[in-house]
Amino acid sequence: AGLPRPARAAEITLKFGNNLPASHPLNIRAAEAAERIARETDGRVKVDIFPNNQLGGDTDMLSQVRSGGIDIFNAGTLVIATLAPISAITGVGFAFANYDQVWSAVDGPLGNLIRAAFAKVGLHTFEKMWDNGFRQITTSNRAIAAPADLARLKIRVPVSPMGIALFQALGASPTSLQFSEVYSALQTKVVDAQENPLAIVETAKLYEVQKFCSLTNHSWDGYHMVFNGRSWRNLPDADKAIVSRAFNEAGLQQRADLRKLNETLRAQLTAKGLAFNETQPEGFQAKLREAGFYQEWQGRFGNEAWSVLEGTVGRLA
Amino acid sequence: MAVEAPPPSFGMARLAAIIDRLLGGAVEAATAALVAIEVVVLGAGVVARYCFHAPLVWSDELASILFLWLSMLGAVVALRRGEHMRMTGLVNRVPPRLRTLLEAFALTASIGFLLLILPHALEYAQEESFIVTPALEISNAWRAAALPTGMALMLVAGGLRLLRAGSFRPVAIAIVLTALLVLAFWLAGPALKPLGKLNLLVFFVGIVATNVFAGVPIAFSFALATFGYLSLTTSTPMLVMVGRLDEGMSHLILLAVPLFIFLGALIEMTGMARAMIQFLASLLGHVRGGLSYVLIGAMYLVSGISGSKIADMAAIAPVLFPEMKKRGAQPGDLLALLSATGAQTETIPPSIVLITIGSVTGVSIAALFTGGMLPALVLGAALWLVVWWRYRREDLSRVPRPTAREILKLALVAAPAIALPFVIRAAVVEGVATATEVSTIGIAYSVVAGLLIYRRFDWRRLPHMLVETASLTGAIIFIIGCATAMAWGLTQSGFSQDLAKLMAGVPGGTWGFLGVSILAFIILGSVLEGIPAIVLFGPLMFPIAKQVGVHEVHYAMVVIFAMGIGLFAPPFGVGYYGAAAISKINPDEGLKFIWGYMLALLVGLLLVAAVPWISIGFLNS
Ligand code: NA
Ligand code: NA
Repeated sequence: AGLPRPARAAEITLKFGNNLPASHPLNIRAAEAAERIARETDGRVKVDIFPNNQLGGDTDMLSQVRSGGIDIFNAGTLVIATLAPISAITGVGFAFANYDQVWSAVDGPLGNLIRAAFAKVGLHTFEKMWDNGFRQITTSNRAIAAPADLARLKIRVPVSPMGIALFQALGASPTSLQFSEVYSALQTKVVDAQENPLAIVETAKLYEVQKFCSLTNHSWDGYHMVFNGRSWRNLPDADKAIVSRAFNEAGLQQRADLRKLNETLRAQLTAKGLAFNETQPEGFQAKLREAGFYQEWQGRFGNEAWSVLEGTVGRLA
Repeated sequence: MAVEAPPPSFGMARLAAIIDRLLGGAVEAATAALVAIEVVVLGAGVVARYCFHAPLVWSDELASILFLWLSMLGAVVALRRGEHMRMTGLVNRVPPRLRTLLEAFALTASIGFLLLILPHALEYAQEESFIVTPALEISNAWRAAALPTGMALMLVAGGLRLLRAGSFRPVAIAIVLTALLVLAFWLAGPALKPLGKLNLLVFFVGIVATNVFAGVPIAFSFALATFGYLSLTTSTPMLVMVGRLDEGMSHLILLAVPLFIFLGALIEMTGMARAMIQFLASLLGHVRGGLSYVLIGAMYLVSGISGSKIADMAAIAPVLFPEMKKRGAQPGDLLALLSATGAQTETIPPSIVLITIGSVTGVSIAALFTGGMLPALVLGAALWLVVWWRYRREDLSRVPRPTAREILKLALVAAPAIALPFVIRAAVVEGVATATEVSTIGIAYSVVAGLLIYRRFDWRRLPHMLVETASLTGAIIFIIGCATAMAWGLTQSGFSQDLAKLMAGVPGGTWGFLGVSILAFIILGSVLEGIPAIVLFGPLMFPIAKQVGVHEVHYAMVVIFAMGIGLFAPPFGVGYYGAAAISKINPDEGLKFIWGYMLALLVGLLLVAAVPWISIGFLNS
């Protein structure tokens, strides 16, 4: 709303499509970045933001950003893994102990490896990833404290080979459901559990139909800001620098926002009736090792990428 | 709907007829198989998850891929048979020669679109081959290839129909006319571009309306406008439009549509529908308009089971309509009432619209579920009044009043059939199946009841039922796909911000805002195909509603009904054509009758808007 009137009509309009509500830190910071870009380019470059899947679901927006239907897309690591499988490596179960490890990996060599893979399929990627959060498990029937609590638990996971393999290895019964069906499915107990970052639990009102929230931090999730290759090349160099800086710096701020948000969300969701418990990763990791999960994924990602990951987080397989 | 061409007598037309029969047979066999496989795949998913606690993670993905194939091939069958929904009200009123020309034009315009989009569909399928699907881990080209394949087959089927038409002149004129129009727009492109957002009116009102009234099928009217708008006035690569068709047509929730259509056919074939209707008729047959009340009540009960209004209708229409027609109800009135109940029941939980509103705004979904029950009753009552008025002079002197004994006997016979909706509802409420899957339980129940209880199961009719299902599905889902593409065109223009600002500036405080919201959402629901209107405008409008002091749940009910009225009202509402397709009644016939019902809904809506208590009286916060 507070967009300053540009000095002249925009010469370049960039469309940014995403799947999050307008109130999510990602959209708030993206709106600031858009304002900054308009200001620093004297209104030459305008970024239109389309939140809430207004322009399509994740898989369709991925196809749109590849073809140029939209210019910018916040690609979730698992979504874009359908195009560049290496992207899923940051979601390996119980890999990252904390945010320090996450950022040093994705801002460093592991991130570079992934971004190089995106470049190969014609996408430009801004250096700084944005945060979605560590994923947590909510259930309607029991708190998850140890792997044994997951046994045969009907848990909805987003369809991805990694997510499904992770929960199968932990002994749960992962189920694939469209996100739009999750609320009802949890309410009627088609499934007993789901897993998502806390911000999603909040915005999708899942706390209304769930009792427990176990802070498993089982998998970290973030967004790559990808840019259609052709529209990136067509951007004048000076504008490239401005757009890059605006998005990367906004990304860093968004990371800080989300960290703070996760702390307040725990209190908020507790007040709304969710019972929280914390967990220790070691037991889960041991179970995964035993099930051969790490070995399988080391094979799928290749030794090179795997050793880059282990270089940051220590030995997994 | 177009009439089958007379048996052609000369060479070319005869050859075309032969090829057409071969092609039609092959495509129909494929679609029939796809419907049957869908039932099995979804059913297997339910059994694995509920009975064996071992969910199949690939069943949704496979079902969704097959669904796109089913819809595209179904659209081919529908095109071949001339079953794509269209408005022929105007076409039927012009002189015969012009009419023949317009009939040909409806086909050449459709063919024109298919020719324009086909290269992009091929490119899209090629691009998608780089994607590996997440569950089955196969190339996504397996899914995407359905689009160019279906379009190419539609082109062939359309071309063959032109050849079959038998008269050369009108076809030639229509072809030239179509080509000239495409050329004219292409030349006008540079002049249109500077018009900016005015182009939204030119294309999405002007072009759509012209096509619709000229008798071009609804789906192709939307598609042509969208293609023209995107290609001439924006720099959007056209494979995006193909992607929109893909997403719009393979949305898993819509899979309930073919399955409920098939379920409806099954209920009819096994005699369950007859048993049900005889019992209901014995109870209400001597009441004027009795079965219309049953229709309203049935929609209220079924709504919220399938997650798709058109699916709800598909389960009800085949049960009630034959008997109602036999009792002298006018088909147009039935269509009109069915469509109106679609809008009336939008707020009944677990409605996908309510969940969408909850997710894109800050409103509690549980509160919306509670809040939605009574407003739907109020609008239902408004419809009852219209029925009462319209049927108040119905002559029932010859309808015998059955004795209690007869009623009891009919009730016993009908019991297994009457139980069906409750079985379906229970399966959803008890968490056996999701909204999409539950139809398979209904199908399994009907097969068992048909074979064991009613002992009426005509295996020979099954192939025909499956093909009918596929053709209807193709006609309905293809419209939805094209409407999804159209909504994208509108959305990406960024017009929503401007409109929201305009609406916020309307004087009159709370009442002014509610009034302008009703008006806006009726129009938006109509051009944006319902839910996209909510996604686009919900986040913009709800904060304003809060500012002017409207309770969010109350506001949600008002905009959902307004959107529903737009969605289910002709001439642009997709829901209306869905209802027409389901009930196999020409959309033209409903026009005369629908305005009474829509007016009643509007009055009910004004009441809901004026009395917040109806929406929020039962909330406990
Ligand atoms: Na519903
Ligand atoms: Na429409």
